[in-house]
Amino acid sequence: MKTIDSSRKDLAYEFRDTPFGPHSAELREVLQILRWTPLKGRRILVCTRPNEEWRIGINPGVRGKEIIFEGDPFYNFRGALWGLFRRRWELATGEQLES
Amino acid sequence: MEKLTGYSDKICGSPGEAISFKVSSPQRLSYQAELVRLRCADSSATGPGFKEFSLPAAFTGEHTGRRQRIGIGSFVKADNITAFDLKRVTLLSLIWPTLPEGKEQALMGTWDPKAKSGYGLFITKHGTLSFSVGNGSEPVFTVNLETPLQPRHWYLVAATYNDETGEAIIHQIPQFQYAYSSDSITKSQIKKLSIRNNGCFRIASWEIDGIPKSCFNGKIERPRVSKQALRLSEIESLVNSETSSSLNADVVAAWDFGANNSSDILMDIGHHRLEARTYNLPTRAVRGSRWDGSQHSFTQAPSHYGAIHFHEDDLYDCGWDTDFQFEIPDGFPSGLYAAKLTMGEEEEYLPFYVRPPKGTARSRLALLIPTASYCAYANYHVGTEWVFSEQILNAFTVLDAEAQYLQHHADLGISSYDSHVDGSGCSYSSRLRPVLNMRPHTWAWQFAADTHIIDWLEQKDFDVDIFTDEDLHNEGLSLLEPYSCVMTGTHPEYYSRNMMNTLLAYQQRGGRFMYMGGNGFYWKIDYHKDFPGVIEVRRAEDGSRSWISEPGEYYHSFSGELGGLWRRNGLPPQAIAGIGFTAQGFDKSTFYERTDDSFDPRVEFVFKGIKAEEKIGDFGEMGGGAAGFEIDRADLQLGTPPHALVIASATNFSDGYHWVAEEHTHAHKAITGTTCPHVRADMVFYETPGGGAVFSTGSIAWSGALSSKNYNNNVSRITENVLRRFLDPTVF
Repeated sequence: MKTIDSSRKDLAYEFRDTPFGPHSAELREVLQILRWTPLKGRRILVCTRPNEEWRIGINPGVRGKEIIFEGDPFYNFRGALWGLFRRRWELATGEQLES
Repeated sequence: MEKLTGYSDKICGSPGEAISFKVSSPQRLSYQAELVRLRCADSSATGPGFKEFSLPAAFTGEHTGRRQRIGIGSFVKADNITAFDLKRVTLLSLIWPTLPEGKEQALMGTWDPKAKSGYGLFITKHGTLSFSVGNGSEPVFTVNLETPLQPRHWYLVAATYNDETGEAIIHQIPQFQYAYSSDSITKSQIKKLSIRNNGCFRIASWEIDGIPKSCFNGKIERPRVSKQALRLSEIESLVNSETSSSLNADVVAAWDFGANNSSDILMDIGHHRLEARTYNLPTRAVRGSRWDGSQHSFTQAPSHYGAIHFHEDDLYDCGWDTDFQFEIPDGFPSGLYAAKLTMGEEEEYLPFYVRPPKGTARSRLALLIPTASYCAYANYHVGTEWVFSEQILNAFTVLDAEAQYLQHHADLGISSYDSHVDGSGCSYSSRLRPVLNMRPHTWAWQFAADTHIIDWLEQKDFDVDIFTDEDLHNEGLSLLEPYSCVMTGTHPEYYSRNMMNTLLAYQQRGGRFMYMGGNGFYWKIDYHKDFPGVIEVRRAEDGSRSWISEPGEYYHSFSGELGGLWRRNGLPPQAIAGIGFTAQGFDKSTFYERTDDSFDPRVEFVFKGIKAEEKIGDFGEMGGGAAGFEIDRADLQLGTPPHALVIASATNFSDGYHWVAEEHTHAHKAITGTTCPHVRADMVFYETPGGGAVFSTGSIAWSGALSSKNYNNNVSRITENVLRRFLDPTVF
């Protein structure tokens, strides 16, 4: 199975610029890999104020347990999607993306 | 923190009837209640706008708040306290634990965890078998085994207590053989103690203050109770006894879990006929220890289906007390209403529909609200529990407030899309609990999306009588007969046999039918004849589904019929609507284009005011187009009538759209919107006998486009053209 090539930052920035697509075939593959992460510990977006505020949460993977937030809130949805992408990229590659 | 919430006993009522509202105010704070009519429940910026209207009602005003609890988890209870007040006892059963480790679980007995009295067979949090006896005053006498139970394996388990000798014996006998660790285990200890029993006999949970505790996850088969301390050979003989004549008088109870699968009453084959009942709908009609694959229907081979599958997250009816009622006045208009509750900044809606009384149609148009489908989706946990959800949605998970609350509050139960905590699929889903995704201000999907149709009908000044799936199922053709036209909601996916047959009969008698959505008439369901508000669905054989029924468990316990897709049960959606589910995706919706068929004089009325080359629905709230989310196609082989006209199609879908799983014969990659010819939405029209007709849009997103451009758009125009013609009595 393919792994994410951390040198292909161009694909990450493609997502940053067009979070709602359409996406290139190469970016689609990256997204598919990032979206196969296990439920437990999966970073997800949580809308904390409708249409106004989102945070990255850690899915506990067990119903009934609290979702733990990490990092600062985002105040626009595009920024939140990019923040989540960066976090998953970091967890998958061990490398941080510039914002 | 718990929220102010509630539910109503009925989802639909008519003038003269009362709707009872059950409310829980966790902090016991008072709240305000008022009656509102909901024209549009979608508050998104791109939709028609949230529209509610306050109305006078006797219940308007302040109400004293109280907390009402939810007792989640299925179990069996036999109320005859005297019969089970035993000092000497044997408990035995076959069990198939699914989550043996993690927390203590009750198997059977009279154990009272608060008083620490009675007798009880347990599984410890370490996954080992345990037997306790107590009288509430002396220390509890417990015998534990050390070898953990293997998940999803059958065991004969038994425990005896002899009050004369004080000997307690516990047995764990695997019903399988592995090279290691499959020996039978027996352990005994002695302590003289006089058991004191406080309450009734329970299976699969204990109880504290009326709430189930230590719920068991797994199957139980052939539970038996004897008032003697039996030897192992007697235990093995008793578990295999299946008739009264083979049981002696010392047998207190011997329940047959494979009988009466559609009932909550369990039959005791012993001489005392001690009835027991199931609570919170554990899964019935499941494979027992004797299932060998040779039989697949519990009605054909009851002995193969002798088990009940219990889950700690089964829930039928919260059973809350009523806080206030709304008596629907005579002449009250049909529509969508809600009891709106407010407490400071907190707000909650308890929606319900009002229909005309039986036999008194007030308009020529009926709108069927797909409440069976609302039930199927009730409190679903897509974002937090479906590992593949992001691949389907082609998007990262974003949890809204309802999804967060459901994650944090497991006692609200799960949907038929979810799996139980032990990984088995959830076959029953009920509305007799707070259903947080059947609320205003939620994502425009199902409940909120269907209000786009209600809103549009009002905008266009069409009179309409509203009914729910429960009305359709219960009343059949007599419900629809008075109407010139029947219209569906956006996603009427779950249908019972009676509902399917009623729509067919209505069409065959000259009715006009407008299918306003996508992926309709797909899964076969049953309603329960005795328990209102709950559906059963089995994810059998095939289909686009979030879990798969276990082999041998494809038949509905409510009816004995094979479950699964309607296309595999003799009534494909194409036979009802001319089209059926073909693909889904949730990133971008698209537009329809007219086909050659659209220029047939038979459908001239549909396209009045629409140009030949015009893109139809290249706008809309749901994905930016009228064709999207879940889409349908015509297919002669699947039942589309041969004279049906495919009058428009949408084909410009992204790779986020995927052809449905049930049509793949082999896995391959060319199944997406850009590579697969089956990923398309077909709009169809055809006439039915007796001067009737069918019009189908083939897309959930269609109704999200009705209000675009202030309702002046070609989706609205086509819908209005069809509806006006369908209300015209001139025969087709």
